[in-house]
Amino acid sequence: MLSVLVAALFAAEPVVVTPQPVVISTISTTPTIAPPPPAIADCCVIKAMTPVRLAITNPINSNQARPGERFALSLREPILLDGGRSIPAGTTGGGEVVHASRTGLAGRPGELLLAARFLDVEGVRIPLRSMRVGGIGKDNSGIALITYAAVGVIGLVISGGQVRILAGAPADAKVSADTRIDATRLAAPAAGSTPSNSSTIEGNVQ
Amino acid sequence: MKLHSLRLLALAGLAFPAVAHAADEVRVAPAIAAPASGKGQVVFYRPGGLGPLIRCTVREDGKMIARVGNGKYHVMQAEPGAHSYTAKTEATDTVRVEVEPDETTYVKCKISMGIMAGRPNLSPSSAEEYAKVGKKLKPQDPADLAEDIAKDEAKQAKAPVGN
Repeated sequence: MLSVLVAALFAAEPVVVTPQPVVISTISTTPTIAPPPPAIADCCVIKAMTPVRLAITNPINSNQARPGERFALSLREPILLDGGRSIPAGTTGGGEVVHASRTGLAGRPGELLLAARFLDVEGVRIPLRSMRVGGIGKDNSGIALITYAAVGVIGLVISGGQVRILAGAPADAKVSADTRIDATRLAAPAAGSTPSNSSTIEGNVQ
Repeated sequence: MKLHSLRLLALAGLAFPAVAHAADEVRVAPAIAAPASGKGQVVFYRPGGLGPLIRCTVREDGKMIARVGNGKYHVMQAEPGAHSYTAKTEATDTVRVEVEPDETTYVKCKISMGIMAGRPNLSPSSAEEYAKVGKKLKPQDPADLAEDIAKDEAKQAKAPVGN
């Protein structure tokens, strides 16, 4: 009889489970572990030897350039990184005139040799190497020699050709050292963009 | 008579493949081995041209490092970074190059017309240009070069300071 009464009592009252606050003791014997930093803050390392396609911003010629002079570069094609982030085309950088020699008498051609130095990604410099731009102008020494033999000293006055690098001239280089860049400094992935393996230049990233 | 004609034909048959083989032979520029890991190297070469008897003596900081005769080349290991090389006869010419680690840099030396002697002209070059003009190049004898460098060092040591 008693058991029937108890059963009826419990059946009549709904069971309400209220969440109990969990009390965590502030005194702990184990060391606390800091939460990991957000992965987006420091995501990308562009590895050494990553190819970089550049353009030379302003015209340069062998008669006016001087060794040690700096010149402007820009990124011709974006470097796509993990997660669809990228170093955008148009990112600026700098190069240096390694060697320049004016045209000379007796058909001597001008000479020019340029080197890429860095790309500037929001204040982070990516060092560059292995740019092969320049060369020698038209060598007129043969014409000068023939003219000298035929008409004399006038042959010596003939000069060679200059080396002219036009604005926007393409140049290829490589990253010279592993460089870490915060993701916040990179261009955000475009909607619907695919990861780096669909890029024109794939960033060699860790 | 018939036998004689056959002999001639046989000789012609033997000779013809040899001629054809010679025509097929393609001369290429001497291959340049890769530099030691982490180092760079410079190839100095002197294609034919004016002043065949003048050798192109290349110096860095006054010290002789290479000498290439007409139609010769020399490969030199170099530390990565900027280098300035000079050559001198009646005039001095300088070329600055950037040596990259694990890469080969090419420097061409030509002799151009001068008043008393030919003038050296050192200029930056490329693997493509070397491949194009280097078909007849031969390596500079390293023993000759070592001897020339030793003689030059002895001469420099005897020279008064400041010269």
